[in-house]
Formats: sequence, C-alpha cells, structure tokens
Amino acid sequence: MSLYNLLDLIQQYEWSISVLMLLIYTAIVRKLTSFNVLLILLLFLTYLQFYWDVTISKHFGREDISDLITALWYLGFGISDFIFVVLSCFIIRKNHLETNTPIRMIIYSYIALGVVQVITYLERFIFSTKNLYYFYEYAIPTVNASVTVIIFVYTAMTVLNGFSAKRLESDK
Amino acid sequence: MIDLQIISLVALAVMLGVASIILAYRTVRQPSKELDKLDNYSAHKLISDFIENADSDNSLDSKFEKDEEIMKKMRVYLQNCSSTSGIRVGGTVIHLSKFMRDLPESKLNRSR
Repeated sequence: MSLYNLLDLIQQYEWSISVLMLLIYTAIVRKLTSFNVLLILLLFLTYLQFYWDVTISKHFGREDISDLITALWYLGFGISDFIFVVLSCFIIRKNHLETNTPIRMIIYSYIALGVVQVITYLERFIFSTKNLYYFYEYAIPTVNASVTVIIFVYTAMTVLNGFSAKRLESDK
Repeated sequence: MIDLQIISLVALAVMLGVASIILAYRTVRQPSKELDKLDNYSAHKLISDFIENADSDNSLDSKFEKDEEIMKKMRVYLQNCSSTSGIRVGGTVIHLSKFMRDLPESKLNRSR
C-alpha cells in the first residue's frame, strides 16, 4: 500500500473516527470543551464537504461552465474550511473555553487546508499552470489524516488520564 | 458573468481566510512567555505546595488574594490538563475539575 493510499484510507474514515472519539471524549469529560466544539463542527464540515464533492463532481464534463466548476471546487472547500475556523474560534471565545496544543494544531491545520485550496486555485486561475496541483494532491490527504490522528491520540490520552485519576482515587 | 462570479468567490475566500487567521491567532495565542516556561513538574509541585500550605480554615480565597502570580501559573497548567486529571497532595487526591470549580469565579476571570 502506497503512502497516498494509506492517507486516503485514513481520510475516508475521518467522519466515523470523529463520531466515535466525540462520544468517548464526551462520556469521559462530561462538559463542553474546545475539543468537543471542534469535533461537532468538524462532523458538520466533513458531511457538507462530502455533498459538495458529490454535487460538483456531477458537472465536471460541462465545457460551458468549466471555469466556474473549477472555482467552486477549490474555493468551495477553501471557504468551508475558513468558515469552520471562524465558527470554532467564535464559539470558543464566546464560551471562554480553554485551548491547548491539540486544539491549536487542528485549527491551524484547517487554516492551512483553506490556504492550500485558495492558492492552488489562484495558481491555475492566474498563471494557468498546475505546478501546485501535485503539492495539493498530497497536502490535503496528509493534513486530513494528521487531524484524524490528533483527534484519536487526544481522546486516547483523555481516556488514560481518566483511568489514572480513578486509580488514584481508589488508592486513597 | 461567470468571471464576476469567480472574482466574487475569490474575494470571499480571501476575506474569510484573513478573518480566520486573525481570529484564530487571537483565540489560541499563547500566554506570556514567562508563564510558558512553567513545565508540568514545576506546576504540579506548585499546586501541591500551594494547597498544602493553604490557610488552616481551608479557604483558598485568601491565598489567591496574596498570590496572583501563582494563580496565573496554575491556570496555565490547569488549562493544559484534562478535566479528569488528578494530583496527589499528601494522602489526598485532588481532581483538577473540582479544584477549578472551587475557585472563586471572580478570581478566575481576573486572570483571563
């Protein structure tokens, strides 16, 4: 299995892993934190982007609106990534939720995803070249897979901390 | 017509991109560098010492009045802990979530 296939495989299971991790994390922590806010918004985003992908893909062969379809493909994903970041930050700030390193990494990852989408499109739109496309092809699954790994590891760490706290309590 | 739609989309994407970068920076920016240097071991010891030396009436409130700087450092540590983390102080396990809950809200807000 090539690296690309592995990244793509992790990316495909992002939604299912996120749902599972959200349930486990919320069951352990039992309160609203930045992490479950991010996960809930991430689930909506993944769902929306899946339908965007399906909808735009249907029009790929149309010559009359090919420029618009290309723009909607790249910029649609980019705009949705940025909206995800703006909404997450807004909710985190409004509820005075604390942020830590994994939260920062997820937020920065989605900014990076949005920037890659917009820059790749602008390169095609302005310079009519596809040099960045090869970077794009690997960058998107890599970042998505990394976010999935962060979500998994952070939840696992929370579960382990929960067990060690319970053990400390029972030792008391 | 299509060009206008595309330019609008690009403009929207760029504006949202800039807004998200600014908002993210303001939301997740690190605390001051001095407080950042506090490693987990020191923070753990700090909290242990702090609680052990708390006033005899067990009121943390009066202690916070005196040690604003210690409280800030503790918050840096606590915000990086999961709510289920516990620390052992003497023979007692203190859950950080409970510890946070017991802190006077006015004091917490002041350190934000």
